Amino acid sequence: MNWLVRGLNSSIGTKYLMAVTGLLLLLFVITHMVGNLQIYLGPEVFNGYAEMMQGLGTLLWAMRLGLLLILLVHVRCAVKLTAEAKEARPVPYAMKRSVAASYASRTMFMTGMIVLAFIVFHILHFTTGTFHADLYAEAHEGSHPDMYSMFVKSFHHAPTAIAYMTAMVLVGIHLSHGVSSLFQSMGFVRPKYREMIRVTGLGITGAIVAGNISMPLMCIMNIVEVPGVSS
Amino acid sequence: MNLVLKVWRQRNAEEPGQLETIEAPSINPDMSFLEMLDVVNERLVAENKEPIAYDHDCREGICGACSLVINGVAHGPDRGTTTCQLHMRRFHSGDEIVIEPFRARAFPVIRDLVVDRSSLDRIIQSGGYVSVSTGGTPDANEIPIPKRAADVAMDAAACIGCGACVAACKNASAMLFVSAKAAHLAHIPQGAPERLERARSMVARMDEETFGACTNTSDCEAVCPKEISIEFIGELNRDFRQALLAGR
Repeated sequence: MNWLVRGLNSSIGTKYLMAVTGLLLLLFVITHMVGNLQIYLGPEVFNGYAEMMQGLGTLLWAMRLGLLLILLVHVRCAVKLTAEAKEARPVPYAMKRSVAASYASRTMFMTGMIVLAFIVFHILHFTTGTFHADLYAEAHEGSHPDMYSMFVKSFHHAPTAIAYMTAMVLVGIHLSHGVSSLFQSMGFVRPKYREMIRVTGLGITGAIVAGNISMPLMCIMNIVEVPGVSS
Repeated sequence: MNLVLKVWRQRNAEEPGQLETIEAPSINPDMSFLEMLDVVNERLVAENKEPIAYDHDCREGICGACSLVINGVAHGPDRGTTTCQLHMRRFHSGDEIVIEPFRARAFPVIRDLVVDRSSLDRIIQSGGYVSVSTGGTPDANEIPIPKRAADVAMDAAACIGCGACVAACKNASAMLFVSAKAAHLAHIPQGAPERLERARSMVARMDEETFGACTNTSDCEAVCPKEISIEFIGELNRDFRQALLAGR
């Protein structure tokens, strides 16, 4: 096992872990979005989906734990790589220009940290009900939790909607580099794939940003509404 | 042309350095960047001042000795060009030019703009070779090598080891250098058998030399005077993974 720990602790090994956990997180983000897009199918479908997820019980907790572990590895690698990069150039340039590096590629740590803060906020909002506690309590009044109403009412609150949309822009910046970069880090590239991977990465990023921003946007524009409640 | 240089001056590795403003009047636009520095140095010597120390050798873009980060870009504003092949006509009279050494912990400053790049040599010593004698120059086509393999090996072998990739990288990573030096052997029959072992040992040495990891920003590729592609970094990543997971 020593060889594996040593290998994964090397610069390329750490990048490899970064790429694999990044890919898993990307798959989660896509699944999460597809699940949430059911908001457009009305309260019955959405609440049914929410109830189904809650009904998974142990499996739900296994998935949550797995996700947490993946996220921790991703963040830990990021902290390690960033610290090493800082050490690798103790005296900074007085003048430094990037010739080809994208803004996203140069700010991965910063956008990642902001997204991490957003994830904490997001869990406090919808999972623990700490933020918008009144809406969370209201949603859990009946025999079946009404997550649809909580979702829509939360985003009728403009600052919440704007915070979510801003966070999605940052997710987009992070992914615009991350998705294509993970293929390079894993060594799954051939010169002829390079353009294809770049375009696919941007495509996936665009779809995630558009899909996720659409939900708070539709709520705040009153296009998605709680039935029987006019706002 | 009359220029104002802001040059990094540093007496030795121990003492801290700083940017010094030096006037460079009546510069001929047909001079190379290094010839411009020669002229400035002659003036400094005549004024009984310490000349600017900088690396140079062949002055025809093939040796990898010259360096310099000029206005924030390694080897200056021209693509696919070493500092010695950069000409002053690329600048305008009255310009202020900031000249700094290649900066990395693995490239300690020796004096002014001269840095010690022997960390790159030590990476080569760790595995950037074929470990058995393959004899003298073989007769042409004695060992059949597909044209495409020879081309790819040659593209990688174009690396002159100047270290501009390290200088340009936001992480001071040497991945473009190491990947080129691994690839130019990996694609030809003499070097192929040790491909995975080489990837493992060169990467281990690279890490020991305190270079940073790769963020795939491709700034290295953009400043490389030999325009080495980051496809070789992907290849090294693949070889390293195979060396880690396969093997005994």
